[in-house]
Amino acid sequence: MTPLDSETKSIIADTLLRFVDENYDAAKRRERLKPPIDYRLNWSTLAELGVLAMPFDEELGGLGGCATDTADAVRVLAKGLVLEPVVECAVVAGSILAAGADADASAAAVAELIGGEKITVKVGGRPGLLSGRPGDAGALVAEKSDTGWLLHGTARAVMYAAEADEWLVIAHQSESDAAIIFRLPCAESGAEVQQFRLMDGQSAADICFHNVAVAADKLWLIDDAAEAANERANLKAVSAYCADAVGCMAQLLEITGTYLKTRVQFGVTIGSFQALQHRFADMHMVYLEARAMSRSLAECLDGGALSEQRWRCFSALTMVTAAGTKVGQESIQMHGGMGVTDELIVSHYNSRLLTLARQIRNAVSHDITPPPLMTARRWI
Amino acid sequence: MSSANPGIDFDEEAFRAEVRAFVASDLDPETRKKVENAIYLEKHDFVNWQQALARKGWFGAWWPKEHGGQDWSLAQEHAFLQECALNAAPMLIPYGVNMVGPVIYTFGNEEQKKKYIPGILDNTTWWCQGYSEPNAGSDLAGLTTSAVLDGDHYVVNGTKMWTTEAHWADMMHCLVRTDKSGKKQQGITFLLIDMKTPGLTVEPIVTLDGVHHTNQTFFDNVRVPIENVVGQPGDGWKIAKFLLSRERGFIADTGNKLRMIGQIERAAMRYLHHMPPIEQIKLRARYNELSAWLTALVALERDNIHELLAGRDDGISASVLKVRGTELLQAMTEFWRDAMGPYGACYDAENRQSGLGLSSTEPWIQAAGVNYNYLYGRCWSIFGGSNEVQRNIIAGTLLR
Ligand SMILES: Cc1cc2nc3c(=O)[nH]c(=O)nc-3n(C[C@H](O)[C@H](O)[C@H](O)COP(=O)(O)OP(=O)(O)OC[C@H]3O[C@@H](n4cnc5c(N)ncnc54)[C@H](O)[C@@H]3O)c2cc1C
Repeated sequence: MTPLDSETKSIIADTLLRFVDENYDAAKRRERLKPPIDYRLNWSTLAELGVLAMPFDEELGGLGGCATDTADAVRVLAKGLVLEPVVECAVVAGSILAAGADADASAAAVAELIGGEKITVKVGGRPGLLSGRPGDAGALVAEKSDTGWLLHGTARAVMYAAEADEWLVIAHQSESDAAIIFRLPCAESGAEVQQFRLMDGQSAADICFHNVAVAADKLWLIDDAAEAANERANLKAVSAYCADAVGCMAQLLEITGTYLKTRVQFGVTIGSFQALQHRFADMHMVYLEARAMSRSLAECLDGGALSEQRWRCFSALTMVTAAGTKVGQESIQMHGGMGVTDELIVSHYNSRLLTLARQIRNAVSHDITPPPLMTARRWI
Repeated sequence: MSSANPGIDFDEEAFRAEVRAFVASDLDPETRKKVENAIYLEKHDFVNWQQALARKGWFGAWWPKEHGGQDWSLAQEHAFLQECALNAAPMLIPYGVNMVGPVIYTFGNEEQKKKYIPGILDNTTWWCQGYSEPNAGSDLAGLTTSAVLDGDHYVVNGTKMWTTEAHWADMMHCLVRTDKSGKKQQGITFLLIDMKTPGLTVEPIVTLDGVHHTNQTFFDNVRVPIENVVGQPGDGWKIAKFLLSRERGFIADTGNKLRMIGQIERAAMRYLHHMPPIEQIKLRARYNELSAWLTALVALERDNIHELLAGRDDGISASVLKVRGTELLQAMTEFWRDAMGPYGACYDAENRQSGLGLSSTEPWIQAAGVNYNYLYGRCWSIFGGSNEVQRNIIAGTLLR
């Protein structure tokens, strides 16, 4: 896929920055974090601005953005620490909706998503992770029944699952173990939902199915097509979350750099202390690596081989989460007492970085061996 | 055993057993449950525990006999603190018993001793510490809150930052500037201020864990009687240095860490088998390494006590323990988050107000306790002299 032209991209970036500045002023956001949090507050605005349309093909009413464009957009949005499920819905679930078996149904579903009418999120389908909470039944399993399917099992800590209108539930078929994807309206799903709050204010939930009957017409994708759509969605999730983390790091480096240059102790700016200078340099270096890794993953998703995409996902997981932890925690430390206040945005970026690290980890397979790096000429 | 350990003048095993038994019988079970489960502690949890210790004669037992203590050695104090923490007693609030108390019995006059020592030892007075200011953190001597003599009162103006638990306090021990003319370390005075004095206001600061522990305190023509100066005007810096050196004595806080590593192990074991094999291997290896680090920290803390009891003081041991102890704490809490698997990012301060906390069967509630420890854990490398300042002390001493 080819990236959008630079003019379109700069318009998108400007629009997103304006959105963040207008709606995600730090004090306003802090006010909003008082429960109950309205996670849909800006959803219609995001739809109107075309943010939700970004990753979809033009035939589906989208802007035709590729993975690189999405990553660039998410990186801009990162500044705001948004509390709407943009990535979960438009990027991740959207990618499965766009890949539906029935082209008309796909187009209709994507149109609803782009219009902001419906929030859809993916439930289950984590690579390499067993589902199920301690004592619970385990992975999501779909068993064939007379009228359709019986769904059983638990998906853990699913982002925005309690706020969605619709789920794309990824399960194993009990007979073949192959994947299957159902599109279920949450309200009538019959699932048990336990919502909880994450450290950065975002929402997640455990979704538990106890032999819930699912009608045959809820089937969205099955077998290889389901498997491929789920994996593609996971890869896109990792890419978008990495871009988000890189955007947060960029903010922290700017804020912390400014602080080092302005905070005076012992009659000099604290940035004049070599003990902090070298660590700030380290923070910047790991940020650059993370940014490069995030870019290279996005580019790979736009044209690389699947095996290469998987490896880049794992590399991004490793580098971006480590960099995020370092940049987040060092930024707090270098702000001294101010760094640990709720009022200053610094600790909120750290909490977002930690949450993102969890999400990235949840979407990447660890069962991987490095490819022979010397032969992957395209990426050298 | 006492002969093998220089300066250890008590039967450590028997004493530890006695402390354990006392914690088991006299710590309010509600408080213990809160500590064990990382539930928010209220003022009365601390006060009740410290009063129970006072009744037993153990609160401030490490003070000299003449001031109401029992002359415990460092080794005995250490065994006591470690055993209390291991058995889920709340930390001792230091501002009275370990800070202003020793200052008053060392530098104060007879009236001050009579007036303040009883309230410290029986826990009827809650003290807070007003040293840091918005522009005087690491550079404490840069403080500017002023106290100007007016008849038999000092008139205090300015602001103190990070006055922890000032909202619970009856009294503050405060560093104020009484003279601007000399070097900045000169002209600082140690002043005791009644929190109810007109013109003194306390504004909450909420920290990253969503909790109100600390405050900013404002002084608007606060009149403090001249007899509330400890030592002489201008002695403040000397007194602060005396006090801060004591603050870091048992900073490694190994009792709590030993208890925490057990909690971490239980959490890790609970979630481990839900993780892919390679994650399991990595987590197990990290757990072992953290346990080894903790083993070394405990040994280091003991080593230091022995050195100090033998009369050897390298001048940096408190700084070393502070840096290594707080960094281990942070590594432990980071590991703990990771061991929670998909629930590692859950945090809702509400879930720490009451309830089962860490022993909840609901992982997102358990995670509130874990992430509280992680989030508040970030403070440890900042307060009490940041880890950077400690490293400056260490390197400065070694390279002098
Ligand atoms: C939760 C909490 C509770 C507290 N409770 C109290 C209390 O009850 N009473 C009280 O008086 N104070 C209290 N403090 C204040 C605490 O002691 C200060 O925050 C601390 O001394 C650091 O000062 P600062 O926050 O101004 O950071 P700064 O001094 O501005 O430091 C910013 C950064 O620069 C670094 N830095 C500064 N100087 C140097 C140097 N020379 N070389 C290298 N690096 C350097 C610091 O390490 C830090 O990383 C509390 C703080 C916190 C966070």
